Amino acid sequence: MRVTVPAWGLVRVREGEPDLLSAFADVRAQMVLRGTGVVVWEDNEDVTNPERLPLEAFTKDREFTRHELTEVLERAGQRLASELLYARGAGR
Amino acid sequence: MRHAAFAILLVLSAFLTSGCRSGSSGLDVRYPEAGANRAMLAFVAPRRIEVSAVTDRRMDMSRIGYKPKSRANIVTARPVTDIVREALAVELNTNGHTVVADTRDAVLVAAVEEFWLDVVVGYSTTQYVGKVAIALAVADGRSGDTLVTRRYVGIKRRQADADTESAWREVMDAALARTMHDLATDPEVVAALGRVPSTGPPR
Repeated sequence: MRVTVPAWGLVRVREGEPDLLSAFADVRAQMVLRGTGVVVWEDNEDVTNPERLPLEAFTKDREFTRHELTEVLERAGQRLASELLYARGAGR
Repeated sequence: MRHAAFAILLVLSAFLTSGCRSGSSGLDVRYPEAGANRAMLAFVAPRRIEVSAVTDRRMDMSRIGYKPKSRANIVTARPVTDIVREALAVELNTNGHTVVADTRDAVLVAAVEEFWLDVVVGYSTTQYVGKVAIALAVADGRSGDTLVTRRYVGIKRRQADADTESAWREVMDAALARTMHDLATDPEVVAALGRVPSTGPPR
């Protein structure tokens, strides 16, 4: 399984006073047969944390920001796993 | 006078409870049967499952978002509770179970906690973030005992060039589909359904 993370960080998800941001990760996965290199499954997922907070919440607390950024990667892993299982059910 | 007041009240309440139809036809958000697969939910022998009426627990039940410039409401063509109930039925049917109203093995009790679309206008593109959050309980059909409670949050983020209704709908469709896929691959729900004995005739 090849997993890549082309983009990862914070994204503005709601306009307002103040704007609200969430941690996000764009991830790509490929399941490749060893030897032949044939790709048997691939998926791209945009993953966004449900928490929406002002920029200040992230800039003021580095530990919290680290936690949010780590959590969104974990969420991305779960999302990929969920879609892999779902696709396998269809024989894809 | 009282009749007129009653009529106005009736119209207003119908308008509010629908949670939609504010001057436009509304978004036809749905979970298409063609997009559903047999997944881990199909590992359980077929069950007769009642999907009880879905509760609306959203903070704002009158809309699912608003247009960034005009701030006009974005609404769905059907109540979000109907959209979610239909999606649950599609997922269960696709996985070999039968959605029933009586003689049930299990009951799904669901509530819509969020069903929201954010539109963020950038310099050259517009970003859409759709979010669907569903609380779900699986109960034993005979005893009524709750076997498991779960919460699914589906979020879809997409950049598009123009602010179009098709982009809104696609984002909300994808967010809803993610909640259904998470449900269909949830080992705790699969285990809970596996624990309830089947009451119906073999299919």
